[in-house]
Parts: sequence; C-alpha cells; structure tokens
Amino acid sequence: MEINVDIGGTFTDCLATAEDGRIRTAKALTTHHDLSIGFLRAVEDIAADAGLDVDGLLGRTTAIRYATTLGTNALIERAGPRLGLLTTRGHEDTVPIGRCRQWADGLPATATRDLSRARRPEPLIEREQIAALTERVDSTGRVVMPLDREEVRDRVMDLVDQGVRGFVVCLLNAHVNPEHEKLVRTVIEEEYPDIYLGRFPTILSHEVSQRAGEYARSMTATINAYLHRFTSDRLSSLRDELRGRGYGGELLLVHNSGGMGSLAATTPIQTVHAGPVSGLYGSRHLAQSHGFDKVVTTDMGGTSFDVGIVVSGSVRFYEFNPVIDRWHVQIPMMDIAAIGAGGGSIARVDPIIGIAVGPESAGSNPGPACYGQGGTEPTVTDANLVLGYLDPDNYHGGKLPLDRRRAERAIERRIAKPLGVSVIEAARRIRKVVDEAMGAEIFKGITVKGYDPREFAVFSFGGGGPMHACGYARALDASKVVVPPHSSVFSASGAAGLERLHIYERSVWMVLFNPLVKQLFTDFDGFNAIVDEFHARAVSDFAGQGYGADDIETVVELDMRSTGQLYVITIASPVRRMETQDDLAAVIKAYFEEYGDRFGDLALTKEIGISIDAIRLRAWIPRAAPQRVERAASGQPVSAARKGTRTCWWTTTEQPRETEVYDYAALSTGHRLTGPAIVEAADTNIVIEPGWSGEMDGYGFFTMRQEDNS
Amino acid sequence: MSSQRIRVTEYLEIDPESTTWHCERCGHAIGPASENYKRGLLLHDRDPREIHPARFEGEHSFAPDPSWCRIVEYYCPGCGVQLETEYLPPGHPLAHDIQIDVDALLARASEIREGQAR
Amino acid sequence: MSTAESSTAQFFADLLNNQPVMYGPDPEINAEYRLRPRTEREDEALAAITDPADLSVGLSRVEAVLQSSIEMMQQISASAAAKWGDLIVGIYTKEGDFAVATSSGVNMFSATTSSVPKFIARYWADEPTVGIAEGDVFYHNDANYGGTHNPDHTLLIPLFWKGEHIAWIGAIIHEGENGAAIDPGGFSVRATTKYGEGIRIPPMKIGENYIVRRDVVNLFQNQVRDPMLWLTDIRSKLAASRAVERRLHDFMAERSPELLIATMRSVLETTEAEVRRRIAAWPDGIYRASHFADCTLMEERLFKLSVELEKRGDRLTVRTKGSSPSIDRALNAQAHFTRAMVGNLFMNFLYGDLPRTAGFIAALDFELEPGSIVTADSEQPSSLSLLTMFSLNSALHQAVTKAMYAVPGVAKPMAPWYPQVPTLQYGGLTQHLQVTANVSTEMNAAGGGALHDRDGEHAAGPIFAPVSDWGEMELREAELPLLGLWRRIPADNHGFGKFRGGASVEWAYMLYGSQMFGFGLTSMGGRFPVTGGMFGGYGGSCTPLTRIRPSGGVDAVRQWLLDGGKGLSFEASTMVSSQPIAGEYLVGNPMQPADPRVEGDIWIQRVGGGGGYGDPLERDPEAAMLDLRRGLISPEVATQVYRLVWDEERMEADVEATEAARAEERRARLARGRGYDEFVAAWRADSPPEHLGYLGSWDWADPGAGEG
Repeated sequence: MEINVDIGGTFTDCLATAEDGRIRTAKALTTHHDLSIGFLRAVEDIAADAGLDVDGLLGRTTAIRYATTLGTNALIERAGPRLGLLTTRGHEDTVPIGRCRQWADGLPATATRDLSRARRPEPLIEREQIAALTERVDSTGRVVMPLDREEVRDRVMDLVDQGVRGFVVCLLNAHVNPEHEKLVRTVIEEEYPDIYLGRFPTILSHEVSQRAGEYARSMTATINAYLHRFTSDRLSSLRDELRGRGYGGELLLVHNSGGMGSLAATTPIQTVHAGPVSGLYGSRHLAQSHGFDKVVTTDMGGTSFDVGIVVSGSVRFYEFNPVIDRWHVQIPMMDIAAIGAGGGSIARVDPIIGIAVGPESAGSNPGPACYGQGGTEPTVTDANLVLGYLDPDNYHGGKLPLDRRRAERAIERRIAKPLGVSVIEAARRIRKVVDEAMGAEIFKGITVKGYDPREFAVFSFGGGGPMHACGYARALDASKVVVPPHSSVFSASGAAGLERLHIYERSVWMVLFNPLVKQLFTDFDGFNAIVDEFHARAVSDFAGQGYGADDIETVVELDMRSTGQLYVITIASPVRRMETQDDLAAVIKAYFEEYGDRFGDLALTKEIGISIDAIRLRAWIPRAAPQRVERAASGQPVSAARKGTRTCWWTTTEQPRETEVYDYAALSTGHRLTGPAIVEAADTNIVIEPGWSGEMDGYGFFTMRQEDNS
Repeated sequence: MSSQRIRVTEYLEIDPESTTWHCERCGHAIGPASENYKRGLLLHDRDPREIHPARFEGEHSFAPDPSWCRIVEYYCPGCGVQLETEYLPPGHPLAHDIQIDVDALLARASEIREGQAR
Repeated sequence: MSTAESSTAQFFADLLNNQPVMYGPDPEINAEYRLRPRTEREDEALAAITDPADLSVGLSRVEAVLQSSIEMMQQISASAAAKWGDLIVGIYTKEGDFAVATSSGVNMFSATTSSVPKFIARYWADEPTVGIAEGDVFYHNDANYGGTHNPDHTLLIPLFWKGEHIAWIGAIIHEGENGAAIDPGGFSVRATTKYGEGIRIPPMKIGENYIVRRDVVNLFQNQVRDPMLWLTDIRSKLAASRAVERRLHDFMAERSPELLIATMRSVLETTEAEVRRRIAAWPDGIYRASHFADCTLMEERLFKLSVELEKRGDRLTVRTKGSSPSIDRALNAQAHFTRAMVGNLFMNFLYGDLPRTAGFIAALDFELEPGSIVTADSEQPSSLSLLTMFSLNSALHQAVTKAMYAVPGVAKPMAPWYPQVPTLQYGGLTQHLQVTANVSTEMNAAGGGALHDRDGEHAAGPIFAPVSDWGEMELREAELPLLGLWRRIPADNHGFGKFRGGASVEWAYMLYGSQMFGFGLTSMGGRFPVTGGMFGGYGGSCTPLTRIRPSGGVDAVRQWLLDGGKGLSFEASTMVSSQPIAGEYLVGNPMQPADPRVEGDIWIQRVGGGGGYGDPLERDPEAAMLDLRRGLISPEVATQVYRLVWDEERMEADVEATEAARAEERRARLARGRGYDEFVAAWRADSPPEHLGYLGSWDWADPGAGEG
C-alpha cells in the first residue's frame, strides 16, 4: 500500500494505491492547527473502505508521500520566527528594495499596471534586523575587504538583543568564495553555542544556492530559515507519530522541483507549493500512459486556475527563478501559472470589455451568492447554477445546498440590469469571458515556452476544471480534453508518479566562444570538476537514503546564453564531460538547436559568442511507472448511467435544451456520450457542450472531443 | 439647510453658498472662489537649504542652489497650515494654479459631492 | 479655364508637387492624435459581431498573444534596456492607430508611433519601388517620423489574411548605440544639430518575404559602434512580430478576421469614451503647474516646462505655452512625444485598469505652441528629448492632481513620482574582452510620489514602465568591469510631507578590471530639484554627481580596501568632506558624457525620491520617528521640517513636546508670512537672474501668473 497526501488550504486529499492496484481516495477538511489530524482522518476513511483500522493500514504501507502547505501558509501569514539578515555593508537595502520590481512579484498581471498602487508587502525580515558587515569579495572570488570578526560579534549581539532567533547570512559573491560567510557562522557559534539558546539556525546563502544574484539568493536563504522550524520540527514529530501507529516506512516529502526526498534530504523551501507541482509532474506518467508527450494540466479550484506544462524530455517547463509568495528565489521549480479564475471569482461590469471576471474572489466565505452565506456578488458558480450545469441539491454530494434565486438576483443586480440583458444572457457571457480568460492563460503558458498549443493534450483537474474544460479548450483550438480519474485529488494522484530527486547547480562564467578575439573555451578541467563534484554529492546524498551509485540516473543541464542576452536557455548537455573539441562543438550545436526550436531560427544570431551561466546536475532514482489496472466493462449500456434531465442554457445555442444528466460512478469502459450532457461526480461535474462528445476508457480516463467546428 | 462645502484640494474647500474658498482644516474664509486662492494666504520665501540640508559649503551641495531655487510657502492665515509649496527661480511669477469655474461647480454641486462620497 | 490652360496647370502641379526630392516627415500625419474615422471595413466588422462578449474574447486573446511575444523578445534581445523592460509589442489598425499594446513595457510607445504605419501607408503603399505586401519588414528609428528618440527602434510587419491587409504588428525596443558623432550609447549629449545624433532611419522596408536584406542591415551596422546589437535585435524584433502574426492567423482561422478588426476598433473607441467619461467628472476650470530643469546638456541653464490644463465638460485641453523655446541641444522633443507623456501619466498613474492604447490621447485636446522645446521641428537634435519630457512630467503630475482631486474616481491623488534617469552609462572593453556600450538600470530605482493616504514606495520603478527590474549587483559585476561599492538609501533623499515620498538610492561604482572603459551620466537636478511636492509637501532634494579619482589609481584603492577601507563612509558627501583616500574629488552637474575613464575611478550618484504630500507638521510623530530611526531623515530634518521632539537615549518620539513645537511653528509661520501683495512686491523680479541662462516665459502680466 502506498499513500499520497496533499494538504491544501481547504481540503486534505488522500490517494492510496493498494498492492492489487486498487485506488481509494478520501478528502478531509484540513486541520491547520495540527495537520496530522486531517491527514489521519482521511487515512481512517481509506482504511475503513479497505476493511482495516488505521494502524492496520499503516502497517501495510510501504511509502507515504506528503505534500504540505505548512510552509506556504507560514509564509503568507508571516507566522515565522524573528530572523536577522547579515549582509555586505553598502548593500543592506538590497532586500528591502527587491530589485525595484518586488512590489509586483507574485501579483496577478492586472494588479501591476498602475504605479499609484505599487505597494510592497510586509517583509519577512524587518529593516531593523538587517545588519551590515564590513567585508567585500569581488566577482572572481578575490577578497577586496577582509571580514572584521569583532564587528560580526557586535552585530550579532545587537540582533540577539532585538529578539532575533535565527540568522541568514548573504554576502556578495559568496557563491564564488564562501569563506566570509563561513567565518560569520564560526563567530556566531563561538558566541552562541548550540546548547545555550537551543536550536538557533544560521543559514549561509552559499549553502542554499550557488547561483549569482544576491537578492534572489538572500530570499532563498531567508525562506529556508523562516520555514526551518515548521518543516523540521513538525514533520519529524509527524513521522514519529506515524511510527507509533505502525508505519515502518519512510516519510517522503514532495518537492516543488518535481521530485521528492526524505525529511533529511529536503530543504524547507522545497516544500512550498509542492502540492500543485506534484500533481503536475506526476501527471506526466498519466499522460505518457495515454501516449501523450506534451500535456498541459489545468486545475480550477475555488479561487484560482493553475496551468502547468509537462513535456517529456524537456526542461523548458522549469522556472529557475520563480516567485514564491512575493519573493524571487533561486531554486528550480516547476512552472505553474495561476490566474484568479475560479468558481468563486466575482463578475463585474467593465467599461471596455463589458464583463470582467476576477481576480477578486468570494472565496469560500462568504462564497458565491448561491451558497446563501451572505455573498452578494455574482460568481462563476452562480452563473453555472443559473445555466443549469449544477444540481442545487447535489453540490458536494448534497452537503451544500445551492440557492438558485440568490444567484439570479446577484447576477441581475450587478450584471444583467446594468447591461440591459436577461439573467441567462448575463450568465452566458460570464461563462464565455471566464472560459476565454482561462484559455488565454493556457495559451500564453504554452506559447511563451516556444511550443504550439495544438500539439498539447489538455488534462482537466480540480473541482471546476471539468465544468469548464470544453470552454477553455476551445480557446486553444484543442480538440481533445481528458478528465483523468480522481481528478479532484489532482495533487495526491500526481504524487504517485514522483521519483527521489536531487538537483545540484552553480553559477559559472564560461565563454564557449568569443568571435571578437577568436577564442574557444579550453577549461575542460574546470567544467568536469564541477560535474564530478555534483556527481559525488549525489552518490553521497542517495547513499544516505539507502541507494547505491548504480541506482542513480543523471543528466547534466546547462544554462546558456548568447553574448549580451539576459535570459538563459537551458539544455540537456549532450556530453557528461568535456574532453575534446568535438564535445565543445556538440554543446554549442545543442544550444543552437534548442534555441532555434524554441524561438525560430530567424531569432538566432550565431555570430555573437555563447557562454554557460550555470551548470546543473539532476540526479534521480528511477522507478517504474505505477501499475495501471484496466477495469472490465460493466456490461451495462450507457443509458443505465443516466440519472435524468435538466434544463440547461448553452453559449452556442439560443434556446435552452433538456440536457441528459449521468452518474459518473456508473460510467464504464466504452461508454460514449454526445453533448450536450452533464456527468455528475462526487465533487465535480463534467460539462459536455454541444458539438462535443465524451468517452470513458478502461482506465477511468474520460476523453472529450470536439465533433465539429461550431 | 447648512451649506456643504466642496473639497477641491487637500486643504481647500469651496462654500457653494458664499462661493468662497475656505481652509479645510480651520474653516478660515480665504477669499472669493472666482479668484486666485493664493491672494488670501500668507506667503514666505524659503531658503531651500533650510528644508534640504546642504552637505557642504558652496555649489552642488546636495541642497538646491538658493540663487537658482527658492521655495515659496503658502500658509493659512487662520491656522498656519501649509497648503502649498512652489519651487521657483527667485523672482519668478507665482502660478495661478487653480482657476475653478465656479458657476459650473455650483451647477454640478450635488453630482460632485456624490462622486466625492464614493 | 480652357483645356489648354488646365493641362498646363496640371503640368505645373505635377512638376512642382508630385515629385518630391525627399519624403520628409509629414506634418499632417505627425499632428494627428485623434482616431481615424471608421473605415467601411471596420463598420462591417463591428456589425458582424452579434455577441458583445466576443469582443472580450478578442481582446483577451490579443493581449495573451502580445504578452507571450514580448516575454520571448525580452529573452532573445541583446539590448540592455530591453532586458529590463524598455520595449513593447503591439498591434495597429490598418489605418495605423495603435490599438493594443502589451500590459508591460513602455506604454507611452503606444501613443507615439501611430504616425509610422500611417507614413508607410501614405507614401510607400503605392510607390512602385516599395509597396506593402505580405512578408514585408519595415524599420524605423527617426523620431521626426514618430516615436520618442533615435535609440528606440520600431520594426513593423503588415498582417495579412487571405490577401487582405488587416492590421500592423510592431515591436519596439530601446536599442542604445546609434552611431552619434561624439557620444556612444545613443544619448548624444554633445550634439547641436540632428546630424550629430547618428543614424536616422525613416520608415523604410528592409526585407521581403520575411527575409531582411543583409546589405541593408550591413549599412546600419556600418554606422554604429555596436554592430552585434543591431544584428541580434533586428532578428529578435522580427521573430517576436512573426510570433504574433502566426498566433493571430490561428485566431482569424478559428474565429474570423472581422473579430480581430472589430476588437481593435472597439478597444480604441471604448477606451477613448471611458477616459472622457472619467475626466468629465472633474470640476471645470484651469489648472497650472511649472517645473524647472537645470541643465541643457553641455552647460547648466535653467529652462521651464509649463503645463496648463483646461477642463470643460468632457474636454481636457493640454497647453504648454510658456515652456522653453527649442534650442540647439539634443533636448528638443517632438509634439507627439509630448502628447505621449500625457498619455503615459494617464496610463500608469490614473487609469491603469484600461487597455494600453492610443485611445487615451484621442480623448484629450492638445494646443501646443510651435517653436517650443516640446514641439521640436524636424531639424532639431532630439536624442535626449526624454530628459525634457521627464521634467515635463513633474509639472504635468501636479496639474493633473489638482484637476482631479475633487472627484478622483478610481485614481489616487498623489505627489509627483521621481521622473529622471540618473543611470550609469558605460562602454568599452570588458574584463572578458567583450565589447559593450549601453545603460545600466539605476533609473529603475526612482522613488514614488507620496499618496493622499500613505507614504510613497521606495525605489519602485521609472515613470514610463511600471514593472522594471534593477537586476542583481553580482550579475553586473560578473559581466562588466565594475565593483559596486554601495547601493543604499541615504538620508533625506525624498520629499517630506504629511506623507513622505518614497526614497531612492545612492549608487557607487568603481571602474574595476578594464583599462578601456567609459562612464557617463545624463540627468538633471544638480541645482534645482527634479520633483516638486503636492499640497504643502516638499519636493526632492538635489542630486549632483560625485567623482573620485584616486591619485594612486586602482592599486591604491585595492590596498586601502584590503587594509580595511578606513574612512569609507558609504555616502557621497562624507566621502567628499573627509577624503579618506588621496585623490581628486569633484562634485558637480549630473551630466557627464560617456568618455573613457581610469581604472579606480569611483562615480557616486543619487537617484531621486518622490515628492511629499501635505504639510509636514501633520505627519504622525511616530511615523517621523520611524523615518529617523531608519536613517531616512537626518536629525536636522526631523527637527527643522517635522518639528519632531524625541528622546535621544531611547530613540522614541515625545508626542506632547512635538505637538507643542508644531504649534509654535504654526505661530511662527503666521508671524513671518506676508500677505500676497506685500510678498510679491519684495519677491518680484521682472526678468530672470542673468546667471541662470534662463529659457522660458517670465511674464508677470500673463493670466497664468497670479497678478503681480
């Protein structure tokens, strides 16, 4: 038995795979005060379904993969410890300034167009707790000004007097020469030995990242320090509790890099946003099993619409300088774009486009008007209800009755009346606008990486995804949308496909060729030394998790750019080591090829030089894809799954139609439905629009196809 | 019905009944709204170095050069609040910066007040 | 008239009018800022839209396509400015009106370049040797034909669909190096005529069938010091434009060309209507402000930028009379740039919720006097017009805030944002033996103006591109021969007030690692502040350039730093006062051409802070105390300006004593303040002081002046 857990903001999702391949899922409310409670409740449900008690289930469990929002929440709520930042004198305003763009980082594009509204968020470290140290190292690693130990001692004592209980040290160019940072730690440890103040983390930036960029590296180190206690304390106590209840396996944490590792092999920052990432990355197995090598995953929840892209064998869908919460960091993270388009997104009249939807959301409290909890603004859910796509008595399995009249009233007051149209027409337009906005987001996510949207399969997840899939797929000219099984527990289902992964990276400055002076790169030894060092670290890190060198697979990646360009292109290096000119040529050619493929050959200027900006080694323990168990057909015709009909209005037809409603649980292999039709599942509805059809396969995948171009 | 003044700047209001400018802080009647409000204030020629400290003697002192730049300060004669500042070369005409069309304002008074309430 | 006479008349008409020697800038096209009337095709397209929600679909798609493209362009461009945000991608109607621009980037481009496709349509469409066909690639940089200044390059391709010309697609990037006679990097500080500003490319075709002619590019490259930059970025702009073309083709195939045409026209018209509607809510009247800039590139002179806004009903008329006349310096700005600055203010500070489009300026009226520094004619040098325009912004922002304060609607009354660009310019041979010449990104650290309800943001971006990235010091040092000694916020570098302006930084770079490298700087504010305050708040201070040339060169500096850098104060003025290392210390005008420097040279410059809002005596004492504790203000300013009284030991405000000190200061104001006439009698000068070299009006009889 393997259990995957994703702790989200509202729900804790659990997906368990039994030895015989049978999958069971459970959802419990997230218990923020102690996450393990919600987790164990979900486990209880699964155990009960398997005819076991919790201890019995855990006794048979070989792996638990755990994605948590602990870190994300702690960041957003500013619930972390008081930290101090020690940095190079003269640069103590670097973090508060945040590259000047910081006020916009992490905000939706709509909120970053107006300077009168520029406003930075609460900092993680107050300005008073940023201390300057007289020292300086240049970009080659040469010491320009020595570090004054006495000054370090003084600054540290000042900070401790201010109540600081953890230190972040980020000195300029420490990623090239870390000596001064190490010296700072030595002084801190001399002054405050571990026993005296208890756990007193001192995070050195070069140990967290070896990439250039003092602001991003400071934030990466800061977030690690900020979350240190949450991840190490709470997760180790969870692990202990699980052991106490009979679990003999490891607690594996899901990483936002698309991998996972034991607690000891996880840095706190890797756990942030790991849930959505695990869903995304894990989906690649699902996709591959269906023969797709290019997948875009869409997850529509109550507040946001997340888009992720996975392409087999490619690294373009990584973001190496992502934003976590409001902070630019330097860890390789899977790139997920999010826009404010969810079931709770509020619709309003807009002078230019008629109707705008989101990013403001009614959330779950008060929620959409139809929830009857005091919400007065019309939301996407209200529109869906009015159009007939939701059964008011069957929402969330009947646990949340919906009030259609409230939905109509909200839409009438805010949209229909001001625009002078009917409520139905207003609801139709709301849907059209939000579907197009989601489609545009997917479109941007794919094209900005240099791909063609038409080559992608769209996987639809989340409570809202399958309800809108035909709508946003049309905006992409995608002819097919797949609703996987367990789509409402997206992240948990994806986690099943994860592998143990470590990524090692370092900034370098290696000019591969310089046409001005007609020089070619010759420091092969320098290149190889870095790769070898990374490899040795991988062997050592995985040995600590019980794996031998032969179990490990690796790939070398290079961040490269043409002279003068800012951004780097990442390629998988065609060679592990550079020994000859042939190797050098192979690397340069691989860059040209990737560049041309991504931006078009037109955009490539071979005449200018190329350099390597960073070297990266990705090391993982490969595992077989999870077993897929084919379900036998039920033997019943599709009509047996039919529950009845409902009046629905569609965006493509004037008049309402009596629309067939089916029970998802009763759909079986080979069952085919022609739109318009609604398929109701426990926590989502699949809406098949007119002109589309849907078919269930033996693995629980429901594929919708556009039949014509209407 | 008591007259409701219309706020025109941070510190200036217009009383629509008497069509006069008033200080928003103390209510002091500054002058007719059809005229330049500055005429009803107290003015002061400020050496800019009193506000922006000079770092050293002489030119390019990090303070404005007082032979290039003065700060004209405008005070309310009632409460002394500083309603406006104007950075000018010495002796330059003072801007008539707000010339309200009083009739138009009165005609739209309730609409403007409604716009202000939002 | 007889047949013979009319054919003679025709003969002479042809002879004199129809065979121009040169196709110079078209004054009629350049003066256009209203939307062209709807074409028949546009009427047809709009009528074909049955569901208004489709227009929202159209706009959503167009914006996604453009944003995708600009991000790609940023990644593959070589221009330093492009990397950090000085670029844009957009679509124009077939008639040439700039319909939709990317959300990010330099928005004002959307108001200045409509004249370029219009010129092409008028002069080249039917010119047998040129023509407009699918696959054509057009290029331009000459600001006399449109655009802002010569370093900004426009690449345009016509968008066709099934043989019909539907629209134009344009990509604009600030490239930089332009081949000016004396000054590298694109800013021709020392040009006195347009002939000193490097290559000027009027709208021209540089390629067909999507292939750019190599001999044409070679011609361009041969005029400039950075041929690699030009080659790379012509390609990157074309690639970005083609990406837009491809996606719009897909869109038209999926939906219809009518939807695209209708979307563009609809966005223009509805934006214009909405801007008018919002302005109509303001009180009718006339609002005026002036700003004074203190340097004309090669000398220190004071020149005026004057703004008058007349609002009547839904019309807002913008006038600039009283502004300096044009001069033989590269500061002259064309009228379309002036209009674009107004558009920029509206787009980035008032109505950021509306699409970026030429509809903004179409909603306004402009009465700009000819012969002014803000209405340059085509003979004048203008590569640094942006400095004039930025100075204009200070006056503009004040006037607009006064006009809109009473009924701001969605906008927020605020003090002016710091508008200038005191950024390091550099060029030469780097430590990696690579040749480079460009500008750094210090300009992105401009301090934000204070708002009516809170302090301004520190170092939050330039006025012309809301989200701008300063980058990282380590990346700069890895690439360029620089050592960034410091970049920190010094005291008093912002406007004081009830709400203070956002502060900005002081940066210090040493030339380090190359003996063949130059530094330059083009900014204002050495003697006269660049921003004013609002409603009783103060403006920013002055920002002269400090240069240190150590007598012992870089080796002396190295030794001094290795020995602990005794006396290194990390602040310009104390360095100058204490001179901790032997050498030449110069503090002067922040305008220095990009000339070769000596390794070890240290340049220190402040970027300015935003203006303050409201009477400083109304600032919350706790807020002022926090400013003091954080070193944002000096004790001198805390006492003199805010009348703060505090406990030195505990560094805490004494609120009661502060209130008493403030009450006393208010009484002092009443005592020293003079009535208007009395004040004017003592203050008035009938002509400007000689030493200012003053340019602009100085007229006490002008109705815009308070009567003297």
